[in-house]
Amino acid sequence: MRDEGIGARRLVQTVAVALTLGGVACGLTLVFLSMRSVMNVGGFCAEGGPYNIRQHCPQGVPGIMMGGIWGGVILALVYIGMMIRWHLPHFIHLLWSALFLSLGWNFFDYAFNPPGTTSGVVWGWLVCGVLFALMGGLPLLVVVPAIWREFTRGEEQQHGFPGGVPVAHAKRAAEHVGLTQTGDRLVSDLQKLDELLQSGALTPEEYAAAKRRLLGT
Amino acid sequence: MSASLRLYWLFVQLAAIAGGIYGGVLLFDWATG
Repeated sequence: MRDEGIGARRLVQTVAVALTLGGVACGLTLVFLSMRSVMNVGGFCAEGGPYNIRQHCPQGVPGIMMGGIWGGVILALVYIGMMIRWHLPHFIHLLWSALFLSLGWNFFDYAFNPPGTTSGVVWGWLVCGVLFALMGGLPLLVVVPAIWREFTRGEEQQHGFPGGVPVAHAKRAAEHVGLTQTGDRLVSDLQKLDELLQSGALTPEEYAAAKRRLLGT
Repeated sequence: MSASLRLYWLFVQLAAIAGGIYGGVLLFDWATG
């Protein structure tokens, strides 16, 4: 029964994570491609309003760009909330850099390969490209090690209450009482208990009660 | 969380990103085509 509960919860989490993160990637792709469409017609365009429009936008681009921006932002917030709540390894730290580096690439590309009859380097876009590259690239110095830790960290380094605490606690307890076999068993049991908590099979109260029983406190 | 579970979440999320990018390209082509 417990295994079925864990399986169902894992399935729900998987679908939710895939849909939200996939939606964020989709939104970012739409913004990236929409930006290129606008740059293809000179870098600016307009639709609607009581104005004499000099440059209309490419067909479908205004709607898809707004949809990409707002859809991406909303799904990113949902993704962030879910991953923090569920204590799952995540790519939250990479979202900022993904946004600025992808759009910065467009600035660089069009600065050196301007559309239409324009020739030479478009310095305005080049400056924007440098700024975006710095804004997206510098955080990577911190973000890449953080993501590496996120997906490779040991049990003791896990964040969030109470994940990560039991193993270190059990090791200390085992060392304190001079146990070897029993201590190893205790560590193993506490690791299983920790996984049950993180998967949602145990409530924090059930987890605390079971942990007290294991430790005999 | 076990190493295999972390690997599971890594693949789920990489697949989601790849699928999202592919879906975004298709959606863009459909909307602007």
